[in-house]
Amino acid sequence: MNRSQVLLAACLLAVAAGALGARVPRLEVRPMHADEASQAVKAAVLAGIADQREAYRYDPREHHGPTLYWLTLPSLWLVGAKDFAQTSEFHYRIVPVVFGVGLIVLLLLVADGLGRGAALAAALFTAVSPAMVYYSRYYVQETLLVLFTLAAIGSGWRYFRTRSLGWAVAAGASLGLMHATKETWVLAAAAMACALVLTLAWSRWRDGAWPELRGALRPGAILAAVAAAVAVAVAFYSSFGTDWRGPLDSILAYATYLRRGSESGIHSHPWYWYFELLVAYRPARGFLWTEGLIVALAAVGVVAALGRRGCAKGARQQVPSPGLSRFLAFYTVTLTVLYSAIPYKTPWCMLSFLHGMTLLAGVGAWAILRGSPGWPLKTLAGLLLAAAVAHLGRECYLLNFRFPADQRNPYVYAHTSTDVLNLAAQMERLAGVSAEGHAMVIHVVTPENYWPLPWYLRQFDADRVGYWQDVKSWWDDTRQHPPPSVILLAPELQPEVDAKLRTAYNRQMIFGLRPEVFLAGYVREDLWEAFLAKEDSVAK
Amino acid sequence: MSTRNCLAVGSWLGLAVAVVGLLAAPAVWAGEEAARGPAAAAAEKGKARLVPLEIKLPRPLFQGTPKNIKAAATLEKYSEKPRPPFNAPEGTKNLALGKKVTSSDMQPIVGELNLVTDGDKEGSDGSFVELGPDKQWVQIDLGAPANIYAILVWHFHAEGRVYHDVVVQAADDPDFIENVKTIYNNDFDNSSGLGVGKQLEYIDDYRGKLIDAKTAKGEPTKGRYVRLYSRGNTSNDLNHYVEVEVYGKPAP
Repeated sequence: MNRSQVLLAACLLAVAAGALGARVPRLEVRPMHADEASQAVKAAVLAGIADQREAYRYDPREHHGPTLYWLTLPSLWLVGAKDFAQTSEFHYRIVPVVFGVGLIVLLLLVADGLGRGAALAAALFTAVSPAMVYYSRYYVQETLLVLFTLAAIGSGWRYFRTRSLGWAVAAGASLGLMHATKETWVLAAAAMACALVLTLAWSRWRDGAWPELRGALRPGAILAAVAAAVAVAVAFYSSFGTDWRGPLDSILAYATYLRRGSESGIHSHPWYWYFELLVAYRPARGFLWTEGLIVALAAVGVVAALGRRGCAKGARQQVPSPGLSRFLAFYTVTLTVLYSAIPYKTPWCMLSFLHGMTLLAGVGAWAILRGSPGWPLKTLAGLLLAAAVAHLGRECYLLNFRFPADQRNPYVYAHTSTDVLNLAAQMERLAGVSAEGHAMVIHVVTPENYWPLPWYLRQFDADRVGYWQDVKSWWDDTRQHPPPSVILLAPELQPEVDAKLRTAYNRQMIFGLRPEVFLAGYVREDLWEAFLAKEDSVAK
Repeated sequence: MSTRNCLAVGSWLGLAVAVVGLLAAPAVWAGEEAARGPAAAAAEKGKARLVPLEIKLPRPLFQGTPKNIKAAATLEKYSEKPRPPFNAPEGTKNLALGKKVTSSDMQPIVGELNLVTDGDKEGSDGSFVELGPDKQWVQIDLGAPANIYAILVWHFHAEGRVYHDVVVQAADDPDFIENVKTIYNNDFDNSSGLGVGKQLEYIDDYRGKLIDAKTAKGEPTKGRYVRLYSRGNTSNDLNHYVEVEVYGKPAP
């Protein structure tokens, strides 16, 4: 490494450290989303610390690929968790945090293709982008998918530059990891393939010559990359050789996801939905959220990448080849079009193309700085960009720490209400006065999605907490047993449940699971009296 | 004049006075009644004339029963039927309108504290104040001691929500030390530390929550300051007020 490369690495590491500082604090501040909670249970099952009897195996209908769970194991081992109840939000959410910070470190792979200044600017945008920070603190697969995608592009770029077999294998392994992370990897792969073709065609048209590819198309390297991709994907989907149905299921799963992606349903949104969230989200008076800076600079980056001619060989050391920037421009535009065209949309899905935009925003910012004539204008442009980054940083703070679960936050989606924390606290207080403690019996009866309740009731004996979707099955299963200590139920089921109660219950509690989704709480009268007596003695 | 004649004249004069008196008495009684007014007269007899409060409601922001709430025994039963009229002594009016509001959170997240008593209860953007998380209160200075008959509060009615630990108190001083009376309390587990409440939680909607401020004996609550507590809601941990109306009459 020469001096300027060392300096760049030091700068990127400094930005990565800052990004870590923005992502790690108060990981518990936002209640667990239903998806996060169910994935935490999956990881705990894989780690062997959950109370479920079945071992982990890939489910082609839900929960996506297995990498998230496998990569959570080091976190759970490090803290020495012996059972699920000992784990906290931190132990799971730290995994996407690490991958979110890794996105900055991995810029080292592509810095010579983007330009060092552009890479540094991209690092800054990645560090403070509110969406990138938000979903780096969210226990879902998205951040992992984005990192593996960058690793695939970066390794591919390094292979193109060095013709090294090792980089070909790394690119293939990264593709395999993408496949083992989430089914939507096919969109990124399709965008990559499309971008490769378009970049070649564009280079032929713009520069008057085909890029030098002959040396790169080595059968041995291609075979090694494919072998690495297959080996990695099969290893994860088969749970490292223990479930050989997994790899087959990982292919069959596409039928399910293809149908889900094209069906209209509660997650169907218009094509411009992602842009609305990113560019100008105004949920209420006094609130306007925007990452428009990144989108606008990405547009400048696209123009800069596609507009610039290829450089003379002698100038390569100073000005990077436009090949990678062009590839990223076509890749990002294609991926954005694909995600926008699919009716099924959730806000975390946009992370894939938003990351492409942050890279291009770096290219765009650097193009503006370089293109500004004279130092006064360069200084002014620099100050304006710095102010814009500061604005992003402020939004990042507000959305991640001030309004992390607020419905006015563009990245909050079908999120658990903060009231669930009150429910969990109340259950703990009741356990504190119950003779059975955490072995007290809790029944949950609701036709709604009851997640993330298993997460918030994880301190309780899992064999004594039951979930039913209707009153009939609840009654059939429990009528022979003593009345439970607590019943949590959908208010619409109360008349039916009330008719079957065999003893007196206090029925004053009500909690919000999600906005306008409520859970009434029944506490057996003897337990309630004990609870009130304790509260009274504490008050005195 | 002989004694006999004197008695005869006296008898005639007495009879004449009695007749005049009998004829004049109803007119005098009627004149006094007209001068005092029927309500005051009734009040003197220990019972004021009651008339329904005139409450102007905002337009509903969510229609029908909120999702998943049909018949809730834990809550006050939600009904879309109009609320029965609330009777209060004639002359009772909203004493809170335009009055000064203070709060445990003097720097609200959204809106200003004066929105609590500005008369706008539409509930849309710009008509509510949003206070910080956990337990918060707003306090209204009625300007003078008052007899309070009812309090009407709209927390937020753009979606179905239940606000937790709603406690309403009145007092004679702004620090709530002297003569503090709890008018309403649905903090069933004393998590707000103001005592265990027996009232049920309820779903906010465009009709607001009408709280009867009369005591068990039917007397109005006396006080100058009214304070309303809450501790987050079923959607988030923030506290909101669209409007608070305090119906009463200045205390004599």
